[in-house]
Formats: sequence, structure tokens, C-alpha cells
Amino acid sequence: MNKLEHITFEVNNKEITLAISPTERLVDVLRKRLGLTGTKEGCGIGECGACTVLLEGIPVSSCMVLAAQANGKKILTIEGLHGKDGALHPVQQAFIDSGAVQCGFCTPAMVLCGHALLIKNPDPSTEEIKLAISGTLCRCTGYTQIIEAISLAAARMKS
Amino acid sequence: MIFQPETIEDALGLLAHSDQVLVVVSGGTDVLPAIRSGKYASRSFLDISHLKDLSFCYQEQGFLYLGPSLTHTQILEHEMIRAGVPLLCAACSSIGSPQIRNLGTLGGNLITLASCADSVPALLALGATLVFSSSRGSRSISLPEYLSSPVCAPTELLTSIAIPLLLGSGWTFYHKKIARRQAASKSRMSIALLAQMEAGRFASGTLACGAVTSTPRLFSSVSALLEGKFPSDELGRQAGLLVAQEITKSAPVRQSYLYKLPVLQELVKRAIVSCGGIS
Amino acid sequence: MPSFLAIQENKEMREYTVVNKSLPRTDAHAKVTGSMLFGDDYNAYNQLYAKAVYTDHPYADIESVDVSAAMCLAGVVDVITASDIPHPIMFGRFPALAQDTALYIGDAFAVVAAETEEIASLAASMVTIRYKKIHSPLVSVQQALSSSPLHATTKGNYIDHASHHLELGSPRGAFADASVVIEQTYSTSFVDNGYIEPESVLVEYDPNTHVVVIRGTIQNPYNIRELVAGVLGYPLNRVRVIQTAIGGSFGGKDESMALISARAAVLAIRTGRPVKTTYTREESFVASAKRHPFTSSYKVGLSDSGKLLGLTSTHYALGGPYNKQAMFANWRASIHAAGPYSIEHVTTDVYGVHSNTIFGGAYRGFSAPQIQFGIESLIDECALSVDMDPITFRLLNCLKPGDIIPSGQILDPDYMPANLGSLIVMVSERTDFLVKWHANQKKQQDASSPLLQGIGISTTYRGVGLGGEGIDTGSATVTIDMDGFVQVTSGFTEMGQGLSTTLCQIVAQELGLEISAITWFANDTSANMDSGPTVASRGIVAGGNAVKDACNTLKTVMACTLAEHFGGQPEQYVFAHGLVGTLAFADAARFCLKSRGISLSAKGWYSPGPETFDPRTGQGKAYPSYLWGATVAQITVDMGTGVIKVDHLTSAIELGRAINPQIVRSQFIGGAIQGLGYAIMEEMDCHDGFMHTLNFDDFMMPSSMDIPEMDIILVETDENVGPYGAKGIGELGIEMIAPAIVNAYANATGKRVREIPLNLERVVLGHGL
Repeated sequence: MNKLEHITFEVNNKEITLAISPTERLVDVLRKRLGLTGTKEGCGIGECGACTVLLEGIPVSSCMVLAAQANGKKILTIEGLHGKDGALHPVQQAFIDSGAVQCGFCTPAMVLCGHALLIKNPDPSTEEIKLAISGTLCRCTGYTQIIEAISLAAARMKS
Repeated sequence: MIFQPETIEDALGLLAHSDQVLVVVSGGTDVLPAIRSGKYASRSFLDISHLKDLSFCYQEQGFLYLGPSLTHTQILEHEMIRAGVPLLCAACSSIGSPQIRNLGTLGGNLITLASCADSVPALLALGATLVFSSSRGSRSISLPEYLSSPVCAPTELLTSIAIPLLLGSGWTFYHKKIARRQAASKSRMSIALLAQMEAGRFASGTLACGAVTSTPRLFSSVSALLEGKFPSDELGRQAGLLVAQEITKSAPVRQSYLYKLPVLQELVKRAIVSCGGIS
Repeated sequence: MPSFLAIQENKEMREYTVVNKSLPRTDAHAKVTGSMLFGDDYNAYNQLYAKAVYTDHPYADIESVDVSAAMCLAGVVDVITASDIPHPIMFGRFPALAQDTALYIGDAFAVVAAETEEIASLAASMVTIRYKKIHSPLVSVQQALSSSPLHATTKGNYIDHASHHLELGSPRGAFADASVVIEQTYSTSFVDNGYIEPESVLVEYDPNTHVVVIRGTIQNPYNIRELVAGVLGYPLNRVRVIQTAIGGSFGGKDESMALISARAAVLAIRTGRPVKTTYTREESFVASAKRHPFTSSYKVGLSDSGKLLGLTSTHYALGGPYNKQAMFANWRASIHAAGPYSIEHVTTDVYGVHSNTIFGGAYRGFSAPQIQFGIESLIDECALSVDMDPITFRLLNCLKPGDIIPSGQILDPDYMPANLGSLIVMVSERTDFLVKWHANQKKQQDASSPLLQGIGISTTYRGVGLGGEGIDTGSATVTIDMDGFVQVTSGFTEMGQGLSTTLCQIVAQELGLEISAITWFANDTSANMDSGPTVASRGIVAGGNAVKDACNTLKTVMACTLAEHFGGQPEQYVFAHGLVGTLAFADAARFCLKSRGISLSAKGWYSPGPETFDPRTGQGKAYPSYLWGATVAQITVDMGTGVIKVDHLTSAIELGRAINPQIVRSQFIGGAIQGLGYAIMEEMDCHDGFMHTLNFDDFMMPSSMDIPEMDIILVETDENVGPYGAKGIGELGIEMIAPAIVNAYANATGKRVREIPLNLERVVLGHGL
């Protein structure tokens, strides 16, 4: 009765059914069972944001979500962002063009946060961009070129 | 094992009939770190995150009723809450990071009840009442009473948070969280003041603070001090002093008080000056 | 809007087609699509997971380690202790596994290898360590120096070879002549490198070749190869290290990688299965390198006109029980301790001290952030003592072309620009420094607002490369294939700093190609010569020169071959725009390879000039060149709450040549924000030997909401030590920020705080809790 042993959910537009254990985390399902290693783990307690994915379009730390909680939900990981033909999403291209990538470990999370922001707010101010990425730590770039990338993506997507 | 009921009745039924205490998972932002540190080894879980009937927000007979599964993001973006109790939005916007606000729930903040739980001072200032339900019925408890003995029985779920609507005009508030950086940080301390001004004086003022004492708390002595008075720096200073005295009297002195008490006094003063509309 | 300006000092500087251009990084596409594989993304068939068992006490004698319960757990394949390791003690005294004594809270006594991570963790918790005697841990310099040594073979608790002395002239005489003498002590805290990716390694034992293959997030592959080979008792050619993409390192993924690689290697050999270890964040915080806390005591004498006459300083670095970097970092500290100032009489002494705390290693700057905090704070205090503003005082005393630095090197104006004065003037004018500084000084006593503004300056200079620390040589291999495309490998590593892109830019520039024709391969110790560690911005200087050397060899060979066959002189065969002379590059390559059988693979090797340094006096040619910088910080302080907001950072830096300006800017800003964290929020609490800073909720690093407006001026010169004059950028950002902020704080409040981080408590109380 209501006992959950399998989940059915959508990852990057593909429906998947998996047996899960109660304490299995979404980040583990993505990285280890689905081979989607673009989502990273930096701290395990939801502080660094490196594990960010979009759950029903909303950025969440996947190390803080039980696999069970993803039942029936839509997930977008970094691997699902570019087009089927390999065409980069404007946010991804803007990250390349703005020099917003150094080691690249926080990059998937930053790109997804930027993408989610621009869907909700296509013309964000610098402060709004900073807030949108405020839960994702970057140790390499000092954030400036990441903010410029998201701003550039917004400008390009408007025109 | 993990259970994922779809209705509140199913959830309460599972809690009532379980032979072990189930760990309730709401947003997960407190439970998952606890699982990681080994706290819930060989336990079973009740996932209520799929219960839509716990994410409500409506007004009825002088109260605003909030469902405990509302995430902090949902609260700070909700038109009715922003219009009715903006103090709660201010508090929720200071919690964690965007990713954590998108997951963490109002109810979870109340059940876990960390000393730095950021929504609680605001809820205290707003005079919130909590409703707990089991398969046998419901009970209501004021937030201060709950904080003095924070019990949610193994058969119970928090099912509603009721906040009295702010009637009349002249309502104003002050909220401040002090942390070690500008975002995504544990509270070093937080303070919430809800005040109603009338003809330039305080008709009422309710002050709560968090992350100083082991549980967030109200300061009824400050309410008494403020009533009927004109705002001023001096009034703010007196209120701050009352708060500091009350804290040192009621609990063993902590080393952090060396920093926290002077800062808290300063914040109380600023709260009174700000709500009073003087600068 | 943040701004970025590049100025060329020498108007005749050459224009390039690929170098000095902000080309996109060659690895950016893989990173923005999430396809780049980092350490933990690698898995091997049939792999085991290794988990270490750590001590419960920071300083204790061990009675026994009981692994029997762990061994019985289903899914556990092996458990090892120190007695299972052929040669457990590595360089710096690091034990792959400790045996009789725990000397710090990160010491591990056993490692479990199991089928899953969960089983490994559970089994690790079932290993029981029994303690014979628990000692009181040594947690400060004073305690360490007044207690019995932790190691039988050190001199007291001094870290071997980490004591460095420098003397120039005679400070005692200078003090006698001075009108003003000031003595102050400054101190810093343990901080973590804070890379977002935790350490990870996957080790396999190849039964065909008897080679241990280590694949992981390793900054210094040759170092790890040497250490693990030593632990196993293997020759170097039976240990192969392959570097994965690294999610940040900044010096830190070194000792920790040696520890987890050595343990996994022993297990891989014993079990015949691949063994994987990924640190939790908590493990990374406890058992990896930190920046050494420094306690720096200065005595300085000035004339009444503000001229610095003499300076002595003594510095103690708290190092932890094991340490392999203090000997190098402290040498660098001894050269730079007196700051970029012209002082005739200087004595510097730097020491490293063992302790039962978390251990010091390399973290960006490598003593410079600590040293600069001390000296630049002191300089401001000196200025105040003779009633001068910080700009005028610095312009009076800063090093100028032709001056002698404390280690005796002359700043020869012909090949070593020393334009620090102009950098100071640049940032001062750009920020309207003097007007603001004086205004803030006046407002210090103003109690009407708890918010105070402050403006402060710091300068820095930094020796390029390793200098006298060690042999600064580098290698690279450039191979041209018959289709005209090029492969590059180097002994240096890409860890986010962009070296893979900049080295390709140099190759493309040299060979006259587009960067898209060049592929860079990650470091594999079986494919390149030992180039030492990728630290101190050696990557661009030694690595860049090495690829240039390889390209020169290839160009010479090709030009001579073509000239011989097609006529003309080799000099006429110019490599530009995809052509060699008038031939298409690919055709020229195919001709050499197929028609003439010439090899088009060349190894490049960079080696600096001979060492001329006397370690007894700290005199000689310490470094081949220096980088220069000045930074102004503008802050708002809330005295009521302790919150500091850094509003603006304005920096002027002289770095030779920017191979890729966009990468340079990003590196500088990244370093500056690390410096901001160091200044006001970062601190690791190990005050009683136990670790209290467990994860990123305790260790505060700057978020996007903490960053200031950044205004950066790059001053480029045609230096001749690095390729195209490039001297590096990695460290310059971080060194100047803490002192600039603390000096701004003094300007805002009139209060001088001499310990960092200048956090909430230190602002409100004047001291930490």
C-alpha cells in the first residue's frame, strides 16, 4: 500500500522506469545508474550547487532529493540541454564566448541555473543573475564572466 | 522501505498503522543530510512531497492558512502571501540558496527546528498557530507553545499553519539576517519585528529573534515597552537592552554572546527605528 | 560594469595572430555540455571502492587496530593496515597508513575495499582502533616549540629544511639611526583550497605489464608517480599516472592524491581488481593541504621623512605533523618578506613548525598571501606613524628600476621592468584614492551612521616560476601528422587555469596555423618527461617555452628539408597563415613525412640559467624575473553588525604578455575573489586538534552575491623570460586583496586588525572568538 519500489520519471525527455532503494539519491541515480555524469557532487549537503538539475523546470540540488521524490517528475540535466543535432543552447554558447569556464566542474550547474532564469525572466538585471547563481559555488572564475555569459545569452535570445 | 501516499488520509493511515516510527520526508533538505550522516540507518520513510493537498494557501475567517509543503520559493512568489504577510516572504527569501528554497518547505523548517531556522522568528512575530493531524483528529497549538515543547507525535503530520490576517492599516515590519556572506549562509542571527503604527506611535510591536538562543523566541517584554510609544533611538536602545537582559537571564551564557548580544541590541534598535519610520 | 583594459608599455611590441588573442578555450565545449570526464566520472569494470578508517584523536598512541568485524561483512573484499604496505612513509613523512601513533585527526590506520561505497563505509565504521595513550595535541607555534618533538629526527619541532634566512646590510645599525621604530605581529588562519570537486582516483594493476595505472584528479602526476612507486617499492617505469580533467586544485590535489593513490594501489595489486576512491568533502577538508597559518613579527625603522631604513622579520608557519611544501614555500617567503620596497638593511627568518593540526601544503600564492598581508599592513602603519598617506609613502619607498631587492638581485631596467610606481599611480588616480582616503580618515569618529566607507591599497611583487626552490625545467612534445594536424602533450597539467588552450595558442602561433588544428592531450607520465609540478605559473613559462622549443625544432627540420628539395634558403620558408613558404602546411608535412621520411615529432625542453644563490645569506639570483601589481579596495563596513561589503577592486598588473587576455582576466578575478574570501570570511577551526569546519556550510567561500565591481588594467611588456614575454597570472590576483581590504578597514574605522579573516566577530570585537 503506497510502498514505493520503482519510480517512473522523465529524464531529458526520455521516460525511464527504475527499481530504487529508499535512501537512494537522485544524484546517484543520474550519475551511476543512468551514466549522466555531467551532474557533479561537490559536498553532499546541498551547499555547493554542483549537483543542480532542473526538476519540473526548477533548479534543485540533486544530492538533496531522494530518487523516490523524482517519481512522476520531469528532470533536465546538462546533457539534455543541447539540441539533438548537437547545436549548443544559447546559454552554453555564451559561456564559451564569455570565457565563463575554467575547471568546468560548476559549469553544468551554472548553465542550468542560467537557463532556468532566462525562461522565467528573459531580461534579468545583473543583480537578478547574481541571485539566480547564488546557490552555486565557483572557486575558479570569481563569477564575473559567468554573469556576463548569462547576460549575453539573454541579449542574444531577445534578438 | 519508503512509502509515497497520494492523499493525506493515506499518509495518516500509514503513520497510524506502522509498527515503526516513519521518517517523514517533505522537501528533504534536512532529512537527506541526516541520512548521509547515518542518522536514519535501517529506518523507513514516508515521502509526503507528492501530496498536493498540503501546498494550499487560502484566507478564511480572519486567518491565512498555509500548507506545510509550500516551498520557501512558493511562499516568496505567492501573490496572496506577498500582499498579506510580506514579513514571511522576507524571512523565506533569506533561507539557504535558490536550490534549497526550491525544495525546502515551511513545514520542514518547523519540524526540524534548527536554532537558525529562518522562517520561525517571522512566524512567531506573526502569531502563527500550528495544526497537527492524525487519523484520530486534529489539534491546534500556538507556535510559542510548540517551541517550548516541540513534539510531533509519530502518528501525526503538520497539516496547516494559520496566521491571523493583519487587520486595519499602519502595518510595517523589519527583518534582518546576519550571516558570514551575502547568500546561501547559515544564520548567525536573525530578527523579525511586526509592528502596527497609529498616529505616529506603536499600537503594537511583536519582536522575535533566531539563532541566538537554542530555539527562536519572542520577547513579550519588548511588546509591553513599545505599546503606545513614539519611536526613537532611545526607545530602540531600551528595547535592545531588554532583549539582552532577557537572554542572559533565561539561559546559560554562551561564548557567542560576546558577539551576538551587542549586535542583537543594535538590530533591535534599527528594527524599531525602521518600523517607526524615522531614520 | 566591470572593466578590463590592456595597455602596452612598449609601443613597438609585436602584433600576433593567435597569441595575445582572447580565443575560446579548447575544452569549453566539453565542459558546457557536461561531457568532460572528471575523476569520479571514470569507472572500471569490476571495480572496488576504498574507504579509509581515521583516528578518533588528533594525538594518540595506538594499542591495536581490529579489522576482524569489517572483514566479515558481506561485500568486503580486503582490508589493509600499515603492515600490509611495503614502504608506508613518503616524502615529507606522510604515512600512506599510520601505524603506532596518530599525529593529527586525518591520520588513517586502515583501508577497506568493498563491492559498493555503502558497504565500504559501513565496514570502515566497524574497524576498531584501541588507544594506548591520548596526548594533548600541539596546536600552536608556541606549544610546538616548547614541547618535545613529534618526530625523533627533527630539530625540536622545526620542519626539516623549512628554515630560511636572508640578510642584507645591518638592520641593527639602521634602527639606531631611525626616528621611528615600529614592532608589530600579524597572523593568518588555516584555509582550504576549496576546489568544488573532491579528490578522486581510480587505480588498476595491469597484469600484462605489471604496471600500476593511476587515473585521477592529480595536479602533479610525476610527484605522485614517484611517491607511489616508493611506497610499493616499484621502479618508476612500473607506475603510470594519467591525469583526468581536474575540478580545481590551486595546489591542493597533491598530498591527498598521494595518500589515496598509494592506498588504492596496494589494494589493486592485492585484489587484482580496479580500486576507486573519491573523498567526501569532510575527508578533503581534513586530509588535504591547507594554506599555512603564518605568524609574522616585524620590526621596522624609518626616518622622519618616511624613508624605510631597516626591516627585520620572523615568520612561523604552522605546518601539521607531516609537511612537504613548507621548505619551498618558506624559501619564497624569505625572498619576498620585505615586500616590493627599497630597504638597505633587511633580515628575514622564516620557520616551519610541526603540530598536531591539519597540515599545510600548497595553496595559490604559496606564502605570498600571508606575507603580503603582513608587510602591506605594516607599510600602512608606518605611513600613519609619519603622518603620510599610503600612496605617497609607497611611491617614496617602492622598488624602482635599477634598485637592489633584499635578496641582492638588481632590477636591471633593460630586461626586468620594475614599473611598480606607475601601477600605484594608475590605481590611485583611477579610484580618486587620496580624496576618499582623507575624507574617510576624517569621518572615523562620526557616530551618526554605523556604515563607514574605507579605501585601502596593497602592492605586490612576485618572483616568476620556482626560482631557487628547485630545478625549473619543463618538457613538451609536439607532433605533426601527415594531414597537417598537430598533437601537443606536455609534462604540465590543465586544472582549469587554461594551460591546454594557451599552449595550443603558442603552437598555433609558431606554426602559422589556426588553433583548431591543434589537439592537446592530458598528461600521461608514460608519454612525457618529468616536468615537475604545475605550480607557480610554471605552466606558461616552462611549459610555454618547452612547446616553443619543440616548434622551433620542427620548423628548422621542415624548412631545411623543403629548402633542400624545392630550392631557396630555409629562412624563406616562413610559417604563417597555414602556409610554409608558398606550400600548404599539410602538403609540406606530408612531403617531409612520406617523401623524405623525416620525423615530425619533437620534444621541447626548457631549462633556465644556472643557479647562483647562497642559501646561507639568502643572496643571489632568486628568480629570472618578477611580476608586479597594485590593488585598491573600497569597502563599506557596518560597525553595528560586523558585515563588510567589498564594493570595488581596482587592480593594475604587469605580467609580461597575456597569451589569452580573456583567460588572464578570468584567472585574475578568480584569484581576487579567493583573496576576498581569505580576507573576510574563510577560516578552518582546528583549535583543539579536532576538525570543526566540516563542510561548505561551515567553511564560507564567496558566493556570487559577495563579489565587488572589478576594474583591471593589464600592463603588457615584451619580457624575455617567458614565451612571448608571458610570465604567468595564477597567483597575482590572490596576494593583494586581504591587505587592501584590511587597510581599507583601518581607513574606515581607525582600527587596525592584525589577524585575518576580518570576519563579523573581529569587526565588532576587534578579536576572534
